[in-house]
Amino acid sequence: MAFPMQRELYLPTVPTLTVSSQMHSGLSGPSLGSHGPSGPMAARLATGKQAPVAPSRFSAASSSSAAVTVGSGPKTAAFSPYVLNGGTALALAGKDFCIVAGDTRMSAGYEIHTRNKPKTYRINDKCSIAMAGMQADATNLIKMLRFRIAMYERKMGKPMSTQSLAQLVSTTLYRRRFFPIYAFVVIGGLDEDGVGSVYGYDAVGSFERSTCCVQGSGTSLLQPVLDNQFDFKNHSIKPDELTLDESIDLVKDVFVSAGERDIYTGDSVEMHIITADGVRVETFDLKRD
Amino acid sequence: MADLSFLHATKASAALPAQEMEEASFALPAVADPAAYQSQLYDPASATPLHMAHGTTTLAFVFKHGVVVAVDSRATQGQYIGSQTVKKVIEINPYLLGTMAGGAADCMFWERELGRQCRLYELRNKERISVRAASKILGNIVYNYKGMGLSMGTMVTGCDASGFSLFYVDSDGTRLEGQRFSVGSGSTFAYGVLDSGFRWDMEPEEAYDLARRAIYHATHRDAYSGGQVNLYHVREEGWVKISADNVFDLHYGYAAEAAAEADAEAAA
Repeated sequence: MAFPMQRELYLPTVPTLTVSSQMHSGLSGPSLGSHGPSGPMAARLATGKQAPVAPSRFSAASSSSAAVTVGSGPKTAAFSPYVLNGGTALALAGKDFCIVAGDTRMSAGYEIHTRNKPKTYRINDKCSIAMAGMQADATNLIKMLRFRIAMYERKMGKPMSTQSLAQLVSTTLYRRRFFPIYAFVVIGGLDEDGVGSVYGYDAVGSFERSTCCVQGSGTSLLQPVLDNQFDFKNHSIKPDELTLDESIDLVKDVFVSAGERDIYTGDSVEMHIITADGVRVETFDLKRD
Repeated sequence: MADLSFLHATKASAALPAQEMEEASFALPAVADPAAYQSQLYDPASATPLHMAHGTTTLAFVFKHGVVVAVDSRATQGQYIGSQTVKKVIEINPYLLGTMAGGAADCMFWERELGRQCRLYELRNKERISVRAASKILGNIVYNYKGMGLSMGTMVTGCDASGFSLFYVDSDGTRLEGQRFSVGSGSTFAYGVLDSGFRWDMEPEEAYDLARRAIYHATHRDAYSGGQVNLYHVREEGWVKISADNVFDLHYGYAAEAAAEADAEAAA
């Protein structure tokens, strides 16, 4: 069982800077100083030979694409593979239901790239995943997970339980311990007894089961509210647990509130409502400001 | 891929399918120095800050009736409290416990791997692994990643043929056997209470109270510790979870106790 997503993507050892070292020898002659042409073209001009084709960043011979010429010698540009696309994702678990929701705004800095990029992903009849953080990493992570889930289901001949998925997500994230996946995951679903369960993660796979978890830019706004109004944390008298309808209303309320105070949360919310009957998807609009 | 062949160092496992090896390999960033890159990743000033969940005050000590392990339950990501209900005692198997301080994911992942290795040892040798050997497996694993930015300060404890033992293992490669340890940002506070109250021949109840108080005082003075105090007792027949107390209840419980004592003294 080979994982196609895990082919030689990243280098195991300290890479050798093949292209830039060639460029360096090419540029070391007195005739070509800092005013000469730069880049792989310069190497060809200087040596009269075909410079090696600049390898893509992910091919085995590479990583040198991070090297660019500045002035007279090769310099390594900063490797900054992450961008924060903002947004909020959350999951709530009740006795026999689970809600997984995320807003659909995707931004970078002050710019809103799209108002319709859901953060929620349906996995099976019993569970969904929501992710905030970087959209590219999240998309890639869900692709990897879907593959591994499919392999598991083929091998085991049964759908993956929410609990097993929770462990799978953790190990998948930890595989990238030294080059983290910039995605903040929350899983919501029903466990093997049909009870709602939520698992929240950090970027490198530490996780914990809980009943409500918020991830992304609205975390510090929403988590305390949900701790109080959904989990009734630190209430000396515990009210009855929220019903599904009350929980849906609460989710709508907190997203509207987050939209008022967090620039990265807004536009609309996609909500996966998971019960014994399966997953129902609902959306509702937020302000588009 | 990083070489993880040491995970399968024994002969029996040398024949594991290649896929398993592939599973057990880590992706590295395409930079000249992946190790140095780690410090850049977690820079709080970065535009894309990455906060790992961090664990905080843990302690364990060996005494006449076994080993007591006590921990807090707070995980912080920068200033944000990520969770107040973390399980920092990792139940490796029914007679081995590990604790979590430093990177939560590192401790969780590697102590789970340790559990797997210990089970394999049992199956191959038809006997339980010693605490000494188990802690050494963990120590050797993390030593292989020295400089790569792993962050864990853990105690491995349990009962084996030689009795109770306690080992401290951290991500620098340190591995020490000892009678009592405390690890984490609140450890100095916990040590103060623990060292002043420790006696070898304590009764179990006394030992529980001492451990609980030590963690409570750490949560009181260390902002990165808090939540609840989880307490375990390792006995000859394996570990038992003794209690989980919210520090709110402990604080006002201790205050009431102190007030009652003061009243009694005044009356006398």
